[in-house]
Amino acid sequence: MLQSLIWFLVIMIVVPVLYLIENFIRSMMPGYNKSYLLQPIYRLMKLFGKRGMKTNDPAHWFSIVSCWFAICALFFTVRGENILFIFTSLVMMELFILAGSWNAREPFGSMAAQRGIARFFICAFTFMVSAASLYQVTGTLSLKEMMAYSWMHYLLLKLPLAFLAMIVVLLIRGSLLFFDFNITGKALNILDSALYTPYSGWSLGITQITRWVEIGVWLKLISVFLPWKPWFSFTVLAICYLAFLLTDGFIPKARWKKVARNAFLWGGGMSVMNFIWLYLF
Amino acid sequence: MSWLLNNGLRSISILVVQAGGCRGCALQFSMGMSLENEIKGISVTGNPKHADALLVTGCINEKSREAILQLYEQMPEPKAVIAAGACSCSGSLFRTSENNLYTTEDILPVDAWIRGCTPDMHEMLEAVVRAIGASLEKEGSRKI
Repeated sequence: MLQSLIWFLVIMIVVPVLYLIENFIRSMMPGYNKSYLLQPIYRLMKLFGKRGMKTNDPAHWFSIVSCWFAICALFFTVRGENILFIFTSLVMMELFILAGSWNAREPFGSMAAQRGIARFFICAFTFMVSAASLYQVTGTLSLKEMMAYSWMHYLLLKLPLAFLAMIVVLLIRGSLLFFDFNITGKALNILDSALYTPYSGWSLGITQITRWVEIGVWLKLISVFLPWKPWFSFTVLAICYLAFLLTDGFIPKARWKKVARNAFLWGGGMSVMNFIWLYLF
Repeated sequence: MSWLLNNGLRSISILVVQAGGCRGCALQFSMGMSLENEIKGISVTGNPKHADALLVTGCINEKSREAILQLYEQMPEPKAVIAAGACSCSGSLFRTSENNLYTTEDILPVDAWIRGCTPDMHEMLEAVVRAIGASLEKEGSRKI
């Protein structure tokens, strides 16, 4: 239990630290605007000092429930529980974010929710097929047993495409590289922003925390594939994620429908191919 | 609560609206952000829910007026409005045209004016910080 608690706290801290490092390195680059070391944290704290929009009242409360499910998913992951618990928690988290979007009585909220549903379908499909492949190989759905199996039998060699598909899911969730659905508010065009548009003030801050927790869940989940000690696998994956964050600034962005097509072909396609490959060989 | 508001000065998100015109002011602002300067923590956002200030550049016509008002409504308090450039402040060369143009002050409560065609980039950044500071002070006194 103590070990799980330590993992939980470490993951809660590591993901914001990754964003801090990315922000610091980027602000040192020529042509980028200068920022403070703790800029992402200041940005988050600032949101809690803002007044929420009265018109979006029900949407605010959905963000709290969503955050709760993200924390549950992280807890199940660090405990090495059944992968179905984790999947269910992540699904509930996403559904509450989307429900908040639909309830916001804003055209941008509905548009963002449509985009969010497309993203949700792709991630859920990829994760389900990858989980089925994991079950096929390891014979269990328990994350703890999968880790033990990966340590002894090199899971990565049997499921290389499923691993890549899960990396695609991580990139989709982080809105990075070619899998950016432009829903994090980074885009400069109002029509291209934001699943989080319906949220404002403190609820936007909570949604941001939810996103960080969720990234932590995916990092820990995907580290199962790597055949090293859990802390080393997690560190390797966290460094990879930092590299993705840094290279994201140099990658051109595409329209979200093209991104959805790419994400489905790469994520869904690779996971299905690996699943079929397991049956054939 | 006041320490939360103080973080607002360390992280300023600007929503830049080019209402119409040559885009010189918006480019000048982007240059000011990317070049070496002592002012840190300003970033440009495309999402009004993240924005702390609305920077309006160019001449405002009937169409862009509606869009600007919509954006302003979507921004959560505390928020500031900054009119940047001669067109946005006074209409500049186009104020006598018959196209029914507006200045920013005609449609929104403006917190800072940056005059000039085009304005100095450092002045723009300073004006942004001062406008945000004023809006945070206003919000602080409202809470007290």
